[in-house]
Amino acid sequence: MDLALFEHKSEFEWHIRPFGKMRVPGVIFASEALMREMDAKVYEQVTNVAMLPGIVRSSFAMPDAHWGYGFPIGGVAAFDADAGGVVSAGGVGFDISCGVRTLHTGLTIEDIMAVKERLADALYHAIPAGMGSTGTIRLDDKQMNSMLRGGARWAVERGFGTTGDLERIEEGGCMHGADPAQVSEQAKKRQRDEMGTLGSGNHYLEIQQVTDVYQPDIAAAFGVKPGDIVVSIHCGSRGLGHQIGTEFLRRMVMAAAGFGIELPDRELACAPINSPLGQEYLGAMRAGIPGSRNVAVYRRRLSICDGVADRRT
Amino acid sequence: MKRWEHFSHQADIGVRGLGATMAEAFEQTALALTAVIADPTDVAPSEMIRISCDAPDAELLLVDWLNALIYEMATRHMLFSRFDVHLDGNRLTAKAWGETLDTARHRPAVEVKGATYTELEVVQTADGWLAQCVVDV
Repeated sequence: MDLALFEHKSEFEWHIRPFGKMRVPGVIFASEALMREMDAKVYEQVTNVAMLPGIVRSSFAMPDAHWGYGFPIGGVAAFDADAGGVVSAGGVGFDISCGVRTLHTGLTIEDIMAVKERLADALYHAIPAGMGSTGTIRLDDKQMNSMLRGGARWAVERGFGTTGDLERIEEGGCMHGADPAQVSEQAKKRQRDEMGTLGSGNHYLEIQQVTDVYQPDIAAAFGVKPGDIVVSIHCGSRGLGHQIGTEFLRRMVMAAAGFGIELPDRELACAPINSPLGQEYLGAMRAGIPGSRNVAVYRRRLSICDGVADRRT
Repeated sequence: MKRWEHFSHQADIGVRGLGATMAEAFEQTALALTAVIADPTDVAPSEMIRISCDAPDAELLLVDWLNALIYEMATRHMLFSRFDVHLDGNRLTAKAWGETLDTARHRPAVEVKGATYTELEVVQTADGWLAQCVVDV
């Protein structure tokens, strides 16, 4: 990226002065080395986000920022609902609330070396992954709505986890304001077949060995030391989130002019938070967070629990 | 003239179709979409489904068309290898032929989760029509 485009405010802080239709400055946090290697599209996307109505203070990007859909991946922005602030389906993204969860197994590398291949085979057979895979959990319409509303709490109530898990999940595993009625039948249909499956592409489950500890005090707090074996799972709301995102993005593109919003990029399609469309999206999105932080959380748990259950039988 | 291709976009992939008419470009883009997942020549066009959608402009229509196919692939567990698209203004009616996904035979590389507005273009070129966008995998 061309560093001449930025004001170098401090060692790790690079500012873009507002120009054109930008309402606030752009701010990227990164070292000079990271900035030089960063995709030039990040500059364009940070400035585009700065043009959205009601944005508070700055359009930010984190050190890992790279070219995303509308927002850069690693982009951060806050919007003031009372100042015409918007919620952007593109900004939230398609795989609503995807994330990584790492579970400590209590095992060490010595424990698993001898059974490495058998373990890989067992995981492959126990955890449905890849395109077209289906799980063993089937929900009817009522159960689907309960799941979308209740998220990880729903999963725990059905024995797919423990109450202790909820303490380690954002919002206690259940997003307030989730409204399954705003989630289309198409989105629910995509979710139905994906229940309890891991997905494909960049969604994965890996057995990992801790090889380096950079901050011993933090590692100690998590009880992690070199040689330990952890399970890391990357999952998201997948088909459910994509369907919600796609449908609302389209509605927001169509409604933008009516709200007086000029979109610098169609992927930034948005609606005022205090509008019926904005509220409908938030209801669906929160139900899609169960789709991830709940579905994924519960999916993360269910995938594992499926495996455990399979091994028991 | 009638052909499809992929173009790179960071972690995702772009699908592009070229044809003598816009409808033909849409058909080729759909073929490019299937090719992200599997080799279209391995997909038998044995079962037909119908798709229809309409949109305010040609670009949104392309995204709607591809998203409709993605939805059908996801919920029917099918892949498609032959397409017949008719356009009447910004209204699309189409037939898509394909078969049920067979993991062993089709060896799906990835699952396409959605078509996006990124690098979205439907334009007339010197040779005909070009339709393209990035799909999220």
